[in-house]
Amino acid sequence: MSNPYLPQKAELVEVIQETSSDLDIKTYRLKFTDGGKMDFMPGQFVELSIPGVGEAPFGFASSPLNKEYIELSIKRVGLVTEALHSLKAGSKVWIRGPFGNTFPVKEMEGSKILVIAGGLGLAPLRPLLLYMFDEQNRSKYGDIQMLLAARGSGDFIYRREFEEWRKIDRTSVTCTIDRPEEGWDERVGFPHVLVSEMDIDTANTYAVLCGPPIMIKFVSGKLVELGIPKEKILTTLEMRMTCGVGKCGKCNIGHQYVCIDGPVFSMAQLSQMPGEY
Amino acid sequence: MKHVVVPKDSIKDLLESLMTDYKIVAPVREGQTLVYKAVNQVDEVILNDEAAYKSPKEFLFPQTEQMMVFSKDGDIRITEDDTKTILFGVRSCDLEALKIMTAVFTQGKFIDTYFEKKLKNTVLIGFGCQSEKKGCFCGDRGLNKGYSEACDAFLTDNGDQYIVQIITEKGELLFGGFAQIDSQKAVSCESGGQALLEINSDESTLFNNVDWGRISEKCMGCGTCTYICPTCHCFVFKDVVEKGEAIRYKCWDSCMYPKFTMHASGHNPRASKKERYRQRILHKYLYVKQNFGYTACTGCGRCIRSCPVGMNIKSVVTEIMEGLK
Repeated sequence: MSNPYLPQKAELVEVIQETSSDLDIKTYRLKFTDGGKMDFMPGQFVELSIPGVGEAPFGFASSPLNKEYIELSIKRVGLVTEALHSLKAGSKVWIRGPFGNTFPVKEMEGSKILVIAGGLGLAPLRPLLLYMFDEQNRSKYGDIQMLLAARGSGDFIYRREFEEWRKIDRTSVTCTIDRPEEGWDERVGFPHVLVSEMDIDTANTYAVLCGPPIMIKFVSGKLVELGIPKEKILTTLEMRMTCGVGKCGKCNIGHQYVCIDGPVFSMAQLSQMPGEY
Repeated sequence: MKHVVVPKDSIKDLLESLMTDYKIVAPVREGQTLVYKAVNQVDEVILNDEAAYKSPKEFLFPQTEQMMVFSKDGDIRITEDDTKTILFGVRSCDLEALKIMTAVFTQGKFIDTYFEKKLKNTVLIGFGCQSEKKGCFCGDRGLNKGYSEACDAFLTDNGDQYIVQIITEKGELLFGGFAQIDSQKAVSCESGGQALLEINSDESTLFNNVDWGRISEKCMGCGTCTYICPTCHCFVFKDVVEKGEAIRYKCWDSCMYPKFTMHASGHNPRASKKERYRQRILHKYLYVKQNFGYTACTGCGRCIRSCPVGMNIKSVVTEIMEGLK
């Protein structure tokens, strides 16, 4: 049995600035060196180490079909992320994974997909989107409707890709910000309000949500009200964790561990779990 | 099952002869207390009816364990420890606790290879208690203080000799050479009975319908109970930079501390003592049982004896069950 705590070396090949409101969110493109590789599915995460500083969990942000590199979109907020933000292309970091469960991409086939993301919450959903957008996979899924929210126009991540996403067959992208801004010609308002204006085929839709806890709470409540079954409303959780493999005892919600039983949970599952997250 | 008789004065010779091949960890006097320590001289070993202050869990799950080194030249070296160890004189409660910890660390999709390797290199020699000590309640937890099969061989004090029940091949290797006796004549070697102290209710009821605020009121959150507990197994990684190399350690952590679950953003799912105490009790009495089939409290009584404000897990669990009736 292999050591689950042993990371692989990866080179930071590109750093992409995401937000323009501040410089706090960047996307890190990483290539495994020394012949390393990591196959994953949408929803999974890694533990990234900067030796001497520590290790922290991050969801994959790139396509699982891309075997050349992986991407992680990371906000500067703690010790590891602070150190990471000071690294330049060419730097080496250490990564172990993939960990956690995945979005049920097979079960979701044949359904329409509603994606609602707030701010950095779009990052762990991007592997799912890129997976569904792939030529081989696009026909397996129905319409893909996206409602992407951010505080202000400068707070969106992957904004450079939205136009491309809009060109994909049966795919729509609606962007919204919290307050009106000069030059902003898309929607203004919170996603839980806007979602009731959307034309949703509740009988045949999987909803995938990620964002601030308050957004998840209001949006999922609204979606249940609209008639989407709780089993088909999915979200992905984050928790402080050390090991990522169900041993260290930090990320449990009741008897379930976010690192091995999650991070993807349905609202049906969450409604049965203690509200401690 | 095979039983042998070991005269008491032969035990030290046996340990002496094993010291060349094994690190021997046994109860040793330290100040006023008895602790498990690596033995330098066999004369240090104390086999009486006292309870050791700490369990020997640290010899399988060290308080600070070096895992790997990130070297200056950008490579990584796994820290290997091949020490063969005999954990000698381990009580039923602590053997049961190691069984639970073994489930957590070695079951499932991922295996903690550090724990697994240490366990493989360890011989566990049990030793029966004659009396229940202050705070002990292993009987209520369904354990037999005088016997456990969760080891390689188990010693029972029988006057001027020990009767040794050999349980595994590792046990046979150590004690196989001693005179065998008829098992019928051996001391009673029954494992424990029905556990009386259990929480039998569902997650939602226990989480929401128990007055955890009141129950945890006097707890200071010092975390002593988690360090002293033979089943507590939570940990955190810490990096230390020494001479240009980064050394990664696995260190005991405690659910009693606010930072245990605090996100980098400042959000904390267990922000107050009430939530943290609930986690400790339900992790032991419910979550491990749901995941592995064991209640992760063996009634060793250490948290009761060590708590500076007199928190008592036995009364807490009793009170919870009474309250839910």
